Amino acid sequence: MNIIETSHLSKRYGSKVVLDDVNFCLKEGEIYGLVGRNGAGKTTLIREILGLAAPTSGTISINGAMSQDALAYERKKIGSLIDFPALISHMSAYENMKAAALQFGCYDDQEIREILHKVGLNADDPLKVKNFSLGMKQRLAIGITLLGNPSVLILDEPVNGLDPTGIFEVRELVQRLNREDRVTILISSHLLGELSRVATCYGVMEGGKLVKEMRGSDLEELCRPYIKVVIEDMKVGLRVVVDNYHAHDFEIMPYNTLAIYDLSRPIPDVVKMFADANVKINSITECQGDLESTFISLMGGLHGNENK
Amino acid sequence: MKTNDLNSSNSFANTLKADFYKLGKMKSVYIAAAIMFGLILITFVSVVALAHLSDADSQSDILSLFGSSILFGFVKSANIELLVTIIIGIFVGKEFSNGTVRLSVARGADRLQIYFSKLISIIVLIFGYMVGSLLVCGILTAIIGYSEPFTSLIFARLMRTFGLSFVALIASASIYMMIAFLTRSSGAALGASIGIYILIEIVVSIIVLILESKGLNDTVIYFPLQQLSLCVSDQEMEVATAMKLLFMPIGYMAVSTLVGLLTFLKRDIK
Repeated sequence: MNIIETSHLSKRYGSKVVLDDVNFCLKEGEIYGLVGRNGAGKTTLIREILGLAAPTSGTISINGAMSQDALAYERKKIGSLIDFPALISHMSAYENMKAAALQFGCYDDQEIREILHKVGLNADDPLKVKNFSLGMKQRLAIGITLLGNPSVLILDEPVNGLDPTGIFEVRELVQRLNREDRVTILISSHLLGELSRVATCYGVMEGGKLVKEMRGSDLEELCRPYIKVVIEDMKVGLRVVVDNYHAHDFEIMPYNTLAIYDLSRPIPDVVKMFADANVKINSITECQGDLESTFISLMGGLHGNENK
Repeated sequence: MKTNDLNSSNSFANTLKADFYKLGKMKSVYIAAAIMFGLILITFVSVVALAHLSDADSQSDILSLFGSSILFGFVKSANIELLVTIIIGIFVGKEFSNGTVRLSVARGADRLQIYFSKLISIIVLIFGYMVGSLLVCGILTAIIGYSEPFTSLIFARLMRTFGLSFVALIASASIYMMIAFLTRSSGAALGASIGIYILIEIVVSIIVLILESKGLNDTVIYFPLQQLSLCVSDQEMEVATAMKLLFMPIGYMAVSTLVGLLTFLKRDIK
């Protein structure tokens, strides 16, 4: 079942297009990782879904609801953390939770205490938020998103400012909520490695467009290890790979580069094969396909024009 | 997972509850109350000191004369308007800058309800300040005495002053609320509100002077944020004046609320 769906969603500020014809879909039970460089349109998409920004064109549907009133009704079931923790600095953690709970119409002392415990904060600590570390603020903000048992969580950079233990705890919490409580989660993050540990599917945004959507298994496929060979003569080199190497799983990359995913032969054998066919090798490396470079490649390279 | 029964609850009541809770946790609310009572006490001490400096025969006359102005000037001497202006700037401005308005809207709260909830909570605060100020001024007036027997007519006039001052203060709160919703940050809201508070006084004085020189008298009543002073100064006002003092603030309140609300409904929230 589709929980959140956008159709041809766009947003313009004057002549600047920040969101361009985005067709996005968040299915029930997913942990959807939204990836993209700064200004790619991730936060704008989230803000439109949450009703903070009005789309220039296109539609948003949450649990099938599309009218403004129905969307507002459905948004009550969504816990969200956007940009920075929305906290009142002169109040303690408990008081912040209480203020939010009163607003959401779900004030329950016991629930607040349980959530604060879950995010590693003490309900009885009188320390004001202005004296909190960034990590504590982030954890409290996540705690607020959990008020009222939301069925969907939208987290924009949820591990910002957290130490490794905090990141681990948030990851555990996100996975537990998804696994045990069937909470559908949309996470936007620039920490790709961290995202890959929790997300079950991904959306890559670039220049306001959703350029690619893929499952976790697709990403694993893209991150396979391979032998990267830079050769002088691609035509002959290809013949070697097909006829002598008998490899069917390879990829032609720019700059006379071949990526061979069939790792059945050791590198010296590969070198010998090319040498026997008089193909000059400029370089040969065994590469571990890493997530970061895969995403960078999907986002159009470091400067928007590099390819893997 | 089961979502709490959030949707059946009255969201305006929830917003209001949350606003009262947040307002109650604001130190500025209590500091403003302390300043308010401090200002009243300073006025009282000044009157007593002035009386003591004058000759013995006129002491009681001076005291009772000032007793009347202390009682009827309970809003002005406590400077409730300026204090409320500051509180609005902090309360609404911070809600935007710390992201709590964004959080509420993202959780499906109605923007109209958010606006009116803030306005109502400030109106309740104004009422509280006015009652507190009136009580203190009443006690102090009782100590120094009133210039004439305190009849039901004087009480009625006092209540009329209270009512008209309340409407005038709601109008100014609406204007400052509009400014806070337009500027969307506590610093900008405070700066703009205090700036306007001072600027309007100066501009209106100049305009009124020009109008009076052209033979148009008593026009000050039509200008924004001027009605409060008139409510306090004119204890024996005519019905027509009282009506103007009632409806002019209501007009300004309606216009400022409309502008603030429409902008809040239309603009994106960062």
